[in-house]
Amino acid sequence: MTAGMTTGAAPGTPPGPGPLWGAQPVLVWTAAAGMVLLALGCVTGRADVVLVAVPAVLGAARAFGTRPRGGLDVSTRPAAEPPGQNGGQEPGGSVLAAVVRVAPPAEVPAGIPVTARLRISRPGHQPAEVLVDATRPRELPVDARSVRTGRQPLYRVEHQGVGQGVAGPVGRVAPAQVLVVPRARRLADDLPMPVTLRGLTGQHAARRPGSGGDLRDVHPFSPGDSPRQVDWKVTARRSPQLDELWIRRTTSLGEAVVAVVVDSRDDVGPDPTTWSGVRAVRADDATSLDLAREAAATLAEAYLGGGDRVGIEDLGVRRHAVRTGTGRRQLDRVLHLLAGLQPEGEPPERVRPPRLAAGAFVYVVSTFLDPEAAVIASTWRRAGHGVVAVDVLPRLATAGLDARHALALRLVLLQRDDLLADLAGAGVEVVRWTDEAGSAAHLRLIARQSRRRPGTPAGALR
Amino acid sequence: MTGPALPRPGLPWPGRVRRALDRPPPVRVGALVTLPGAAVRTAPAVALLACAALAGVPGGSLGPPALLAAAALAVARPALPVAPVAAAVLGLGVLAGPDLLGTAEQPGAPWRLAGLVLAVDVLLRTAALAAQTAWRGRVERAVLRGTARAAAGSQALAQVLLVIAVRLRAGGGGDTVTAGSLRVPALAAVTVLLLLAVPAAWRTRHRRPDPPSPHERP
Repeated sequence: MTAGMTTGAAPGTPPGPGPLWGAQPVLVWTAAAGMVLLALGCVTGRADVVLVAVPAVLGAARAFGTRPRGGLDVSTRPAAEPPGQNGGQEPGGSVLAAVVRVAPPAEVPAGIPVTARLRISRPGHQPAEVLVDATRPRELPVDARSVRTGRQPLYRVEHQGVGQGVAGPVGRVAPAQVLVVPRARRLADDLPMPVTLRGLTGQHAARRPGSGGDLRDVHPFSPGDSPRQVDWKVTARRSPQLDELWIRRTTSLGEAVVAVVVDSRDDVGPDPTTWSGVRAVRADDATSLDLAREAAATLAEAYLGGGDRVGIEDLGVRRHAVRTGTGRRQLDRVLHLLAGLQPEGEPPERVRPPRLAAGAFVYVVSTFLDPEAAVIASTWRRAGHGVVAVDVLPRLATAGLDARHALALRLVLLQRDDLLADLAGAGVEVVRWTDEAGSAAHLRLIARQSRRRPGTPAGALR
Repeated sequence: MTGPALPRPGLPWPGRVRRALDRPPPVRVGALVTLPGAAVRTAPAVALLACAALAGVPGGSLGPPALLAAAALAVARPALPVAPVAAAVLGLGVLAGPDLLGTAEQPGAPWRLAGLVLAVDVLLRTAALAAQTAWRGRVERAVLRGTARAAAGSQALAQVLLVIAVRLRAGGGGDTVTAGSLRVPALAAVTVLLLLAVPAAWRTRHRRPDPPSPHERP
């Protein structure tokens, strides 16, 4: 877990004197059974019956007479150092770690053991129910594995102090929140580039003449050129009389501007029966927004690592997300913004696409379950931007769908396939992110195509 | 570009069964030495069978099926007072049978009685613990140790009383134990103990609050 931010530990039940713990029906019946046997044994003069009843009566009387007062003092907080390697980030997902502190009630008779009955739960996980000794304050480490990213609730704790046939009041501790930052995949250095690079510095060779890049051409010396650029061998070959000097011109360097546009309006899981929002998505199922965060984080980290400028746009909200920038701090800004993305109500329909920097290369990360993202991607492609559509719909778990769900899903997927086909027809490359190897290979192919010079046959790429 | 394979409406049940069996990942509580809750939930049934084996099953031919039903009910519904009722029924069975302190007639009877006193205590304690335990839950061993420590005092007292009773019987004091002169004070002591043990709130009669006077302002 890369828990960058928390909203603080959840408050526990305030300690202090409270009501005496109540007797459970089992204790009342135990006392009654013991009394009856004791009375019958005395009346009939049967000491063996009396002896059978003695532990029941004594145990019930002691449990009743030494009842604690008040509720347990329980609180939770995120663990400072989550278990596992790599700060809680493991191959099977992140580890959401927390600490549950349990303390006995304020008033407990000496020598009386206190047991805490805890039910620790979080959405998408199987809850843990434990009976633990709470005679003294103690801290219990709690963890669960999850592939979900973004703002995640930690653990809700329902607690009750119990004794031998007695029980205290029930308390509840609201879950704290943590922000789980998405983890980036490893991509090859070969990334798609825009047609035009920006600036005079950067890591990529531009097409215009300048300094720092590879050889561009040889050109007659003209005013403004440096004498150091004179190529004497070429000059001797082309102008033996030295009436003209020839220089080597190099290309300039530049940086790419990349816009990653994330569609945060959808957050659907692999199970289509959860799309209505009635059933919770399992914690080991990544939703489309988890995949979108991962894809955007991967692309941002790869481009920023290459010295390029990256900005983030969100189709779900009507505000500028993160303007283009470079460097490590820009990556931190991008990751923090991605972790905070979530569907926010019903956004109004866009009249025009978000404004992008001139010549920016665009990634549209969406499920494409509705036409808005596809329409915007086509608009940008027509405007001359290089556009890649990253499809983040999870692999669907269709086993067990009833006929109505299956028919509804079939219609939705047919409509979506039409949208993706229209995108491909408009010149937008569609990359399916759930296919890890396939998406990497597809991006490499797009990268090679983006570097193709005019006039090079397309077949030469393969 | 090929989209995902379109699902076909097929047999829903295998998928539903698979989904039901495929449980979500659990929340783990670390640093605990625990026993499974299922073991704690079945402990009252085992103790009940042990009690029946030591005390003898009352009820004739209906006794064993009723005993098994009670054991099953104690496991399935631990919140029901099955264990105390079963303990009372077994005590009545002891009352109806021969005196277990009659050492002359039954040489091993005091040992059986000692085991029965222990088993009934275990039955009632484990039933109270099982009523708080979830079927899939975990119980820390320290909780079981605390329960055993709490039971040790009353159990030791009962066993000491048992030894005293056996000694009295063996020394010719059996008539003293069953003397009618002691029954009345013993019954009085039980009544006083009963009144002390029953909470005061149960003995007080709840009065309805007086209706507000029409002259009082709300």
